Amino acid sequence: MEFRELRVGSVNILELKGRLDIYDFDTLEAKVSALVETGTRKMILDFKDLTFISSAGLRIIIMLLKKLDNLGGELVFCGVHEDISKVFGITGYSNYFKIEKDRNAALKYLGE
Amino acid sequence: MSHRASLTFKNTKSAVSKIQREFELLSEKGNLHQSDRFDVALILEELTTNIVFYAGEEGTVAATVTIVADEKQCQIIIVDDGIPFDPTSYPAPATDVDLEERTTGGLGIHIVRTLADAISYRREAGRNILRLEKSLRDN
Repeated sequence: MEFRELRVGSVNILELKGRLDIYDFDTLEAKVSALVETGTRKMILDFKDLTFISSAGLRIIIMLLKKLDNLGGELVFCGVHEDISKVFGITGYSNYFKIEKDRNAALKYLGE
Repeated sequence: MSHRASLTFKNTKSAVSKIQREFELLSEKGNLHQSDRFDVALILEELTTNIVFYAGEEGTVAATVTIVADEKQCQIIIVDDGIPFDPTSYPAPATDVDLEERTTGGLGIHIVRTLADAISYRREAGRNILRLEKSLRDN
């Protein structure tokens, strides 16, 4: 997996590309932990170019969501492909996730 | 026409991606639908990750994954000589609780059981034998 980081106003955007699986666990966990520790409270995970996610990837996302939740922050997803959306549903995680169609809609939701 | 791939490996982390690559080749040959590729790849990812991390000390467990796909379905057979583990009887995670109470254990197995159409397990001669079937979309 590759990722790219952007900032729009008060929102941090993380674009994920390729496969999010067991091999990315440590890197992504460190990345999102660092973002939260350095003050990120509003975050968008842009899944437009993400083609695959395993339960290991979902664990990091849930960890991130819990951290932001506890700090009064917000996490929004966008560009989620159908297959990945199906995994969100199977695992019941779609109940906790705020998902917008694209990045503009996600930014608008977060007030930017 | 059916396509078959088989890979024997030790439980090291690199095995997970080797199996993914084998399956990618097979799904190209069999011209599998994109969503079927995703589902079967996810099933393989979760099951092989489990073997790598939980079947025994790293590098001590031998496993063979066999994948057979024809126009209608994909069969996966995974045999390993690790500790006994029956994914068919593993408790499903509670998915309807608040986020704070939500645990992430058993998530991979839950995904596998939901995506597969049939799954059977037996323990025989010190080996776990897991067989799964997944029907494929018309392409």
